[in-house]
Order: sequence, then C-alpha cells, then structure tokens
Amino acid sequence: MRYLFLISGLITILLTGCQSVKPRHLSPIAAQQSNGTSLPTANCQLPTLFSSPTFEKALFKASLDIGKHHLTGLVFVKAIPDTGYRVVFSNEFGMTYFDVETRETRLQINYCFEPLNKKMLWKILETDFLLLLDAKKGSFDGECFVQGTTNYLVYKRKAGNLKRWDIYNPTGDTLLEIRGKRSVADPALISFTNYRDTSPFRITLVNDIIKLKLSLSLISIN
Amino acid sequence: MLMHRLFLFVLLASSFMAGAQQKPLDAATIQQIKKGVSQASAKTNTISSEFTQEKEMRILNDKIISSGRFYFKKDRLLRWEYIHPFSYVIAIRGDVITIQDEGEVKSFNTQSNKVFSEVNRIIIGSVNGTLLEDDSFKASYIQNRDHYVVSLTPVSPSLRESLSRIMIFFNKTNFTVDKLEMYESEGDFTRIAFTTKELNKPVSDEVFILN
Repeated sequence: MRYLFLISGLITILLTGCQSVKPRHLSPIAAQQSNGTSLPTANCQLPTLFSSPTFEKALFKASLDIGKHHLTGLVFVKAIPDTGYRVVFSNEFGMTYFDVETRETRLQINYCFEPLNKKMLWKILETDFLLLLDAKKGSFDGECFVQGTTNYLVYKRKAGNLKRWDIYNPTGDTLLEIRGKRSVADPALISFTNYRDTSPFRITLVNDIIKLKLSLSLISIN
Repeated sequence: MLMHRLFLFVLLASSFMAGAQQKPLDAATIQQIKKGVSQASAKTNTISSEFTQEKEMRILNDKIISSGRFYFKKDRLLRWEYIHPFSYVIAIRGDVITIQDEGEVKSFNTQSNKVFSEVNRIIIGSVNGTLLEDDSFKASYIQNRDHYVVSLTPVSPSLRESLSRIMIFFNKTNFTVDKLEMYESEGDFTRIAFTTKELNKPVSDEVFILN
C-alpha cells in the first residue's frame, strides 16, 4: 500500500512536470524573417523585468501561500552589482521571513524563519527565483519559436540544468509568462500582467506540485 | 586651535550625554515606570494615531518607509491602515487577522503565521504594558530626555533567532508608547513611531471589521 502511494506520487510528479511547463504548438523561427526584416528579439536576449540594465530596486506587496502557511507583507528586490539580486520578504511590521540572494545559477539563503526553513522547499524556490530574476550571468543558448495559436514569441533558454521558456506578445516587447524547471519536481509558471508603461504591476508565481503561490503587486520600481 | 578645542569639547560633551542616557535605572525608577505604564494602560480604552514605519536593511543599505493610521481598542482590537506608499489595511480581532488589499478581503488565523502572531503579541503587549511583565523577555531600563526606554531580549533561543531585541520608548509625560524598535538577528531593524496620538477618543467597533 505504501509503495502504491509512492508510485502514484511519482507518476503525478512525472506527469505534471512533463506536461505543464513546455508551451505547446511551437514552430522554430529564424533570426531573419522571410521578408528580410529582423525579428524584434532576433538574438533571443530580450531583458526580462529584473535584468533590464537600468533596474536598481523594486518594492512589492506580497502574499505567499504554501501548505498551511499564509504569509503576507512586502518583497524588496535589489540588484547587487556583479553578483545578482537580493530578495527580502518581510511581514507588514518589518519582521523578515526570508532574505536570499541569487549568485549566478544558485540561491544563497542569508536568513529564513524556522517554519519555512526546509531544504526541499528551498530547492524548489531556488528554481523559482532564478527563473523570476533571470540570471545575470551564465551562457544561454537561445532558440526562438512562434506559438501557433497565439502568435506569441517564445524563447527557450538553458543555463545548466535550468530550462526556461520566456513567452512574449507577438511584437516581442511585453513579457507575458516565464515557464521553467530544473527537474520534474519543480516546474514553475510565472505570469506578468497589469502592465503600466513597461512594468508589470502583477506577478504571480505558481508551483503546482507543492501548492505554492506567490503573488506580487508592484509598489515602486527604480 | 580654537576649532580643535571646540571639537574636543563637543566630542566629550556628547560622549558624556550618551553615557548618561545609557545608564541603567535604579529599582525605584523601574517600579515607577511599571506603575506609570500600568496606570496609563488602565485609563486607556482607545488610541488613534498616525504612524511611520521604517525597516532598515543594514546590508542592503536601504530602507522601506511606510506610513498610515493606527487604531487600538481594548482589549485586543487593532487596525493598521497603511496609506503611503501603498494602500493596505490590517485589522486584528483577537486571533483573527483580516487584510483588505485592493478591494479584496482575506481573513486568517494568527496561528497560520507565527511571525505575525508574535509581532501582534508584542505590539498589543507594548500598548497595554503587559510585555513588561512577560516572562518570555528579559527587560532592562534606561532613559533619555523624553523617554523611558525598555529594552526586551527574548529568553527563548528560537524567538531570539528572528528577533534579537525590542526597544519600547514610553513617553515620560503620559507613559504611552511613542516608538517601538524591533531588532532582528541579522542587524536589520524596524522602527514604528506613533505621532498625533489621541487617547480615549470614541472608536467604533466597525473600524476593526473589514468587508
């Protein structure tokens, strides 16, 4: 009986992990269109929100649902020159839930309050944050696609074992979604909505396998 | 030369004043503070005030500053209405926290969020003075010109991991809380300052109900 649960759990992970991340109906496109004009993102290196060269810091209202925990507060993201980003999530009264920083293709945990301090959880959150914040360093071999049903531009990239698909609108200037995973256990889907000017005011990160949902509402960005 | 002497004098004077401020208080003064806080708390049924909150992140060399209105009603009703830089309301009725954000209202129990639960206990305990007698903290008392300052260190190692010290600044005139500082183990701290306080002004129960 115990093995039955284990096997069915593994099958769920495998099926969810395999099916949910990769966008469907993708057709490869070349860097030059047939009429000779360059695609807006021909080099597959469109900056996402945080990796824009002008990004310094951003403050978000945030809520994180995971298991029985419902955490609310503020998320502060700051670019750290030459290394990556620092992310501090604190409750409304300023007490820190976690303080982490991206360092190329890994996440360093500077502080995490006890109920969230689980190794398995942070393996998954590491994937989530690397996807969200985009690695500043690391070599990405990009491939460009157009999605048949929507005409969205899709950029597939890989850094180490992190696979990601960045989905842009048909003109390639608005990031709509990031999908990615490092293993079958950590597929993540991040959606960017409510754009004002060039910034998405709503970011939602979902990791279905562990029932994790992080919602961010932009307050300020520099 | 004159400038050097003046600088030395200012340096010595400020060192002396700083030393005087940090001198622990005697037992009689501590009793006087406890009594004053207890009496003020007994007389206070409601508090309405403005507040400014600053979270200082030492390593990032950055601050998050927010402000709004604060309401307290005996025994355990709190309302934090953040106005700037975002609009957000938190109402706490006993163990139930309700949050109103962009027209959406969500309620949950403080038990689902231990940090929130602890901070809530600290804030209510500061306002009604019970924190001074709380065995979970080791208290020391100092004073500056305007305040009696109670420094509370958590006894429990698990709480100390997230919160290394709380400083409560009681107004010397009316023994109400003017300022609260919560220091985290990593060196970051949050300062909440209450201004334009109104005591015992009628506050409807509906202020603490969000829908």
